[in-house]
Amino acid sequence: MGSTMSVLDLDTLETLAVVDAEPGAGAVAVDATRRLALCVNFIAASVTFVDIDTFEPTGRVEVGQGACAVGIVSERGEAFVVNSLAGTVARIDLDSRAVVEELTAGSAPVGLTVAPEHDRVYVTNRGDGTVSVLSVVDGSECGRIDVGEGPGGVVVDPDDGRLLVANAGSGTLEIVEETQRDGVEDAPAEGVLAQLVGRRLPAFSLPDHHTGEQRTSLEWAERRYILNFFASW
Amino acid sequence: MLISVWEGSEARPEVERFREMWGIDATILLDESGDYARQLGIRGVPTNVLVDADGIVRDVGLVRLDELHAAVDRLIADG
Repeated sequence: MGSTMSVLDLDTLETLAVVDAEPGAGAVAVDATRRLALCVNFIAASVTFVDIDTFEPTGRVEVGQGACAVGIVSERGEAFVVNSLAGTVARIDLDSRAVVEELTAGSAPVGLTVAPEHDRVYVTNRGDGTVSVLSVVDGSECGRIDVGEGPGGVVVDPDDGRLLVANAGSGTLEIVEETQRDGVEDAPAEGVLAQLVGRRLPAFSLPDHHTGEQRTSLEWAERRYILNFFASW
Repeated sequence: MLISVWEGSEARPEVERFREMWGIDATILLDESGDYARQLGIRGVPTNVLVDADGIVRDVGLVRLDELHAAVDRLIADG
């Protein structure tokens, strides 16, 4: 069986339908006005549109690599899809079902939520520990919030307007007050990482995941190489 | 070379599962505490650090594939 989206009755917990999607089916969002569900497919880099009355797929659109999160602003007839590997956020017109704009956020965007006022979206940037605040009107980044390491999931508490951010790298849930996330902030100042360019890489001594043996930077002396810092989550 | 960070208390099996899923052959080191990543100023993943034959950092970040490819081409071209 390929990638699918299941529809469950929350009263009976019965499966009402299993809808064909595309490889890597992950995030889902619903536009009740248009009677439409969007299923984001990570591997296929696409969005599947599903009629929520018939549970039939009714179309698809290609988005960017690593599509992994979605939010809908129904009154604007738009959806915003985070493309983590492409480093972009796709703005989709829900009537034409076409990508009309590619927005930029921070490094490795992975999560998204729509502000209660529906004038902004918040995008977590897993690659630089920040949250981008994007205007839904013109797509510009109108703010950047420093959070913990490896942020992912993000929601706005509808009761008090606070932003809740799950930081997988830090192992924390961060609560951002409304006053911290409004307004325009400058882009983050050049950090420690950027200052490394042109300098000698600090020496390392780390265990090999396979053998447990300590491996040091001396082993790679006089060789060109790439260090890719990653996490399995 | 890959360095796995912030995996939690049982890093090795998680990393092995990840390695198998993605067919990774490269050397993988464990920075379970994240101390080395923090020393470099890394705050998120994935993050790439390119190092030349003199041990000098030539480029950092490079999350997008096109950026990474361009930086690698420069590193190779510069010798």
